[in-house]
Amino acid sequence: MKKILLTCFMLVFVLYAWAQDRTVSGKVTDVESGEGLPGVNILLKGTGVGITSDLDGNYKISVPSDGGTLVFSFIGMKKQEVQIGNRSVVDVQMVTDIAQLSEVVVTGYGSQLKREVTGSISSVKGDVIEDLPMQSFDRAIQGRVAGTQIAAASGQPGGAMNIRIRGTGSINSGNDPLIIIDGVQVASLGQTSQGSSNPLNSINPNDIESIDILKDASASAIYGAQAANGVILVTTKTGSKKGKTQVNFSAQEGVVQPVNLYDVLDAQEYLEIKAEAQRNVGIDPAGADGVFPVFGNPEDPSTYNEYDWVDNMFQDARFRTYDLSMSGGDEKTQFYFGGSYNKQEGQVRRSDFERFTGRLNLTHQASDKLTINAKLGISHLRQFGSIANGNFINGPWVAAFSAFPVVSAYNDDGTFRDYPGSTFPSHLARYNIIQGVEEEVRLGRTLQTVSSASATYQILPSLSATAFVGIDFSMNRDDNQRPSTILPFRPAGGSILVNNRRTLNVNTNYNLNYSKTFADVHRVRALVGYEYKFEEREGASLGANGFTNPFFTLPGNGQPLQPGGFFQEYKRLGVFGKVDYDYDDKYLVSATVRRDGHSRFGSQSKYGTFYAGSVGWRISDEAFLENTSFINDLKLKASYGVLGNSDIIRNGAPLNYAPQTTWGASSGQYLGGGTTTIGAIGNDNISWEEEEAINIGVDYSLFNNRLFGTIDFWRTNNRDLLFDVPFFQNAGVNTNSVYDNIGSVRNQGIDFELGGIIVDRGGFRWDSRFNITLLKNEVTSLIGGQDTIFDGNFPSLVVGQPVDFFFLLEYAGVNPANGRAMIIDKDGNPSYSGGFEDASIRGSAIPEGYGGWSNTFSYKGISLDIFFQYQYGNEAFNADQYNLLSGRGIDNQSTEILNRWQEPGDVTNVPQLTPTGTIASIDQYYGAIGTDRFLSDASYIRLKTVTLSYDLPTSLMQRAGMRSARVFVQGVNLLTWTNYDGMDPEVVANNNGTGVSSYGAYPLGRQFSAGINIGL
Amino acid sequence: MKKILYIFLIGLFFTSCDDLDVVNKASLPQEVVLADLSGFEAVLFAAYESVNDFGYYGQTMMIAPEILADNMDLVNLSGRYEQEFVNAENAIINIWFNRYTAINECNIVINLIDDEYVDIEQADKDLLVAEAKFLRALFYHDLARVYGYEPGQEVNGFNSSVIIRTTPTIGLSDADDRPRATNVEVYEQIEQDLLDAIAGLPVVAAGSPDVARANRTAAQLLLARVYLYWGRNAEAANYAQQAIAGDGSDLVTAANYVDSWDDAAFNFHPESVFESDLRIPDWSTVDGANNSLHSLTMNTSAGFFVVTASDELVAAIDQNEDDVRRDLLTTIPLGEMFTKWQGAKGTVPFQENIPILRLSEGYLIAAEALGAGAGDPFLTAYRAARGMAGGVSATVDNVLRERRIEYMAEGHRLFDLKRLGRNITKPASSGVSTINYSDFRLLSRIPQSELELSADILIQNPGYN
Repeated sequence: MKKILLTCFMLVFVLYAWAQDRTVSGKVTDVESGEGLPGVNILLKGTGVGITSDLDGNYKISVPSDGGTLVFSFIGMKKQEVQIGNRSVVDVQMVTDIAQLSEVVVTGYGSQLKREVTGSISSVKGDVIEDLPMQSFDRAIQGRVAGTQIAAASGQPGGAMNIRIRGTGSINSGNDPLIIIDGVQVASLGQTSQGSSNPLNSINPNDIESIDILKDASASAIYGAQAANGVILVTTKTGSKKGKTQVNFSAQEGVVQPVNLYDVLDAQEYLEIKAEAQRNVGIDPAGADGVFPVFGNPEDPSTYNEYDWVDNMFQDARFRTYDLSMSGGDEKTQFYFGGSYNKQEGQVRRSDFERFTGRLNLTHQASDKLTINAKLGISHLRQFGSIANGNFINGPWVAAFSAFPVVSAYNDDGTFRDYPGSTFPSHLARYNIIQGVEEEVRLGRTLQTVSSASATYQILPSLSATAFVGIDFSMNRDDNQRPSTILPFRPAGGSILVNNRRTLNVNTNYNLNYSKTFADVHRVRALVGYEYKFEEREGASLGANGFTNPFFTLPGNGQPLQPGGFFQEYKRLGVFGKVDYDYDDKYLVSATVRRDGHSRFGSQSKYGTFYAGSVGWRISDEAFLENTSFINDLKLKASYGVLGNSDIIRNGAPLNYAPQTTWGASSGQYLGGGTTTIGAIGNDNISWEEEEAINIGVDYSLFNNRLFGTIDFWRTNNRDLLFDVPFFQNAGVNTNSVYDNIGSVRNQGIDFELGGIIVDRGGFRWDSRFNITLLKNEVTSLIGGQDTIFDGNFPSLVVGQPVDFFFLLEYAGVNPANGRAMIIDKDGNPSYSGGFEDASIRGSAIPEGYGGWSNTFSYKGISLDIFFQYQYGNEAFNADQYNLLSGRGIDNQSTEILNRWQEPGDVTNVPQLTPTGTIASIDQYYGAIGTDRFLSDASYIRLKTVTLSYDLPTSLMQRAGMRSARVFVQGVNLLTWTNYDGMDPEVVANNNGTGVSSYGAYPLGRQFSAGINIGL
Repeated sequence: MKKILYIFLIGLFFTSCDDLDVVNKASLPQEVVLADLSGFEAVLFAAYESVNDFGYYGQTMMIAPEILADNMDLVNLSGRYEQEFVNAENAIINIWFNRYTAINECNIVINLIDDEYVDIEQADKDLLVAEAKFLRALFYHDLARVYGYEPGQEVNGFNSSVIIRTTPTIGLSDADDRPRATNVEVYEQIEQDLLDAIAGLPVVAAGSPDVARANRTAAQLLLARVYLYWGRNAEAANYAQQAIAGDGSDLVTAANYVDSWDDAAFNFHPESVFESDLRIPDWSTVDGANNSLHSLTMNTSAGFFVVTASDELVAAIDQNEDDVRRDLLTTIPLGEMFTKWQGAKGTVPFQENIPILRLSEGYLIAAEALGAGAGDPFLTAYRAARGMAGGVSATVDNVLRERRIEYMAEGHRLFDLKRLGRNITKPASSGVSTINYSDFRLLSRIPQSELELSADILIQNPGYN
């Protein structure tokens, strides 16, 4: 603070000493490359005198005889102030300023200085996620951006993520944001269906320069009908004009460990529990119908064969990543080349993920008016996986826990045992899950390119035209082989299913950019453009069974079965315009309008118009705050707009033909003849879903830029929701619903970002960034004024409730007198049985808040990054417990079952055991409706990443001929604090279509790795 | 440089066409799909194929009415039929949606075949319509017995049956809110359809591949059953005898009866007059193991074997040691296994055709409808075909014993008890006490979502809320 004051005084003093009588010259160079730096602003402090450096970085400036202070500034570089003293030559070396780089944000069809932005945009720079051991960038930015909730849908390597920007606005249409990679609007569906697949896997996160997230209407309205769920803009790296080619190489190797697996019973406990269940209903476990003759006697270990399925199913998995990049160029041409190889084993044995990526980004200045850009990316992914989430007998995360602990997966000779059935009751369809993951082939391979080309022509100094074309093209092949060595597949002679898919997704746009400053203070920027996009997805599948030998791998070696295929396309076009105006960098106004047409909508309603406006006031530039020295930058901003959503989703896939009634061939045949039926009824009136969004916020940077951040208050009203309106089943159409624009949802919240340099002293620096988003989600109206919509017997939407909730009975525990489970009935009394009228909404899966906190401690080349991620206020239903704590049947159980009620007076949550799980004909776990016994608070705080790195000293490096070298160790998902009773509170939602419950979900593992990054 | 600008502008021009037309390759317009004979046949075939859906005769209608009554024991817990075994409140037969979908397909054939753009010979039209009416009658018969009481057997006078739709739903306005018709109205609708079908359908040989499609004998037999349920015994006896006459086929002899269920040798059961044909493309690779009758009743090695014959059923068979049907049960450690569903048709395991109407029922309907005395010869002829001596009077109880055993694992038991107003004595192993005829669980619950959509003109069955 004192320094600032001192500077101010000096400034005044200098002004009085005004005299201009000598010349200072020098050269400005880049400290990294040593090359001259052109275009650097050089200002004589306290005066209006300033010039820029020439092409070689040289400058010459007149200064007063007693010297003064020169201020050197250049975008992306640290500002420097140099006392001239009596020197006549002042050479300056400029240093890259990471913090300042973040001041440029990428907006739709262009970029803007952050200080001028009046919308709500959050940015993550590439260096934040560099070398994190994660396959896709969405995983890497989890928790780092306010207003953006990112959660893993699966812990499988390369698994999908769920991203929600500012809440869940749509009820049963798409809620995924629009993701744009170098201008290419990428498809939101994963390619392979073997396991969980993330559509962003084709982009190597280390190739990314920046990620910008457009959250409010003003920022995203330029994308009109795609913008309602927010927009994520990803920009990959480019070369530089500055001399020497830079090479970067990094290698990393590590291990992933399963954590927090369920504890299940060992053989003896298992037998005792099953015997107790039988005794409770008067069956003698040692008798003819008893468990002892079949499974073994707990007293006599020779009667069973103890085996730990869980231990044998999951593994400490290895992973490694190699990454090579080169960048450089000259005045006319710049390039960035990147290549990577990544292989990661899964926590389930035998499963893995392997990826190659390549990238070449080129910029060429063809003439002084024409610039050509190409960004070419290619990737090949290979996923060999077990079933990712859910499923029953063949899902490792289900079957490994429920398999009998009294038989081994192997015969004595080391071959796989047929899962028992002849002397045992049939269980798990006699599928030996360990043999399954070892011998079943579930292979997905995808070749994908996300590439673009563009040309910009400078028509006038203030006017340029850009043409852009981008493609996202992928070819995928899935092989699923079920060999006859596995018992359940033996009768059919094994089977093979092959799926070939192709996705072509093209978008092209043409726009004019205008930028001019009038009378020094009126700055106008304008953009008009046209865009066209189409997407085609198609596929063909074929299957065969009846293989004479399990080692045949081509369908042609068996008997043909099940040909199948699909074709889906949509088209979209739009025209758009945007005007930004600011007066003296102080008063900012922006307006956007876009008109879009989409083939998904009815013949009379294909087009929609979307718009937004915003204002900003850089109050820190006002005279009355000029002397408030602790404020460096303070901007108030507000925006309002109406955006669109065209993502009609039915059964997880985009619905492209909603206006049409479909008369199509249905699968199947009769007497060899094909069958046709009316598949779905169309609605020609269907149109856009709209989101009205309002945002009021403040961007601040205080105390010499040591404290900075953003606070946004926002509300979105989503209306005309594209809702799959059910009609009568008895009308007799297979799909008994039509899409219509009905219902509305409100989301509101606060995004809060705070960053600071807490300590910066003696070479030690502590940087900290914290963000939190507070969120409230509510259905505000439904079809025809109804207040509830039912799905079967269950309410699925209720006005005044969030769009996701749990409708369950309230569990009242176990009656200590007799061991029977009880619920609270509709009158508030404990009861043994409960119907739908006794059930109520017991919680929601939508969190009340989420965010992250990152800390970087650095001292002389040593740097420690500690990053926490959290969410709270959401519940999760742990459906695994249905199997693991039911007490019934012959499934193995969680050790929690040992707390069961045994005799009058026992106080516990686990009812008395019976072989059928019923007492007096009443299901003790209320399977038909469910109780909140298995619902738990899924709030958590997770120590997400810790990275310790050491940059070797520059002097040492220079001797070794290297630019830089860094060694690092890091850990991911190291610790989790939660009350959730399942394996992972993050991977809980929407698994395998089982609703918002975790069933057989693939949890995230704990990762440790070490690596090196070398720059040449 | 100007050239580039021109290319730029030309590109702009090309892409700026307002091209938002897309192709749905999975669909065709109605007037293209329904232009000719093969088009209507394909819609009719969709209705035919639905007969062997797992949610209908492919599984539910064969197993659920047995295990909800007294013929089956549950021996494995896999989530299948656990609730039905103990007659839990919502463990009901739910064929509502899948039957109305098939009824709509019949309605499309019956109503749209006379549209002006349809190019089909009149004789072909008549045959397709007669087949569609037979199927529609079958579907309404099943809906009526699952969701409503039989006329004359109402509890507390509750006579609501199901919703009648005889015109197709091809647009949203057709999907209107309707109340349930009375049971008599539904029975009259079924009667009319079957009379029309009988008039329009040919006679085919029992047990031949022709029984995969509707035929006169099948329609007569179904009509006989409907009259029997309706209490119109004279008409029941009349149509049962017409069905017995049929094409002149006889019942399988006692010596051959057990072998007649070998579906590798007999793709169609020799007594079948209507049987759903099943082929390889009908199933995915796992359907057989997960859902087939063979998997659930017989396959102890690679299926989801869950049910065996109840002790009470076995005792009923054992009352007569000559009964050849005892050999359709095999003793295994878990109990007495049904061996009807052998799943041995063709090359794909688990598959077999599903018999819906068998000639033996004609004898049993005639015997029951005519009663002791006049009905005795039919019962005697029938018993002879199952290895048992005659001389048994055709009382309801005597006929009911034969029906229970004849159609074990074929899904008649619950409906036979219900139409007669009998209580259900559950197997001792279920631990469930006797379910009185007046118990609300005898009628299935109508899907709650239907009631939520209705403007209160659709009512739920009593007892469900």
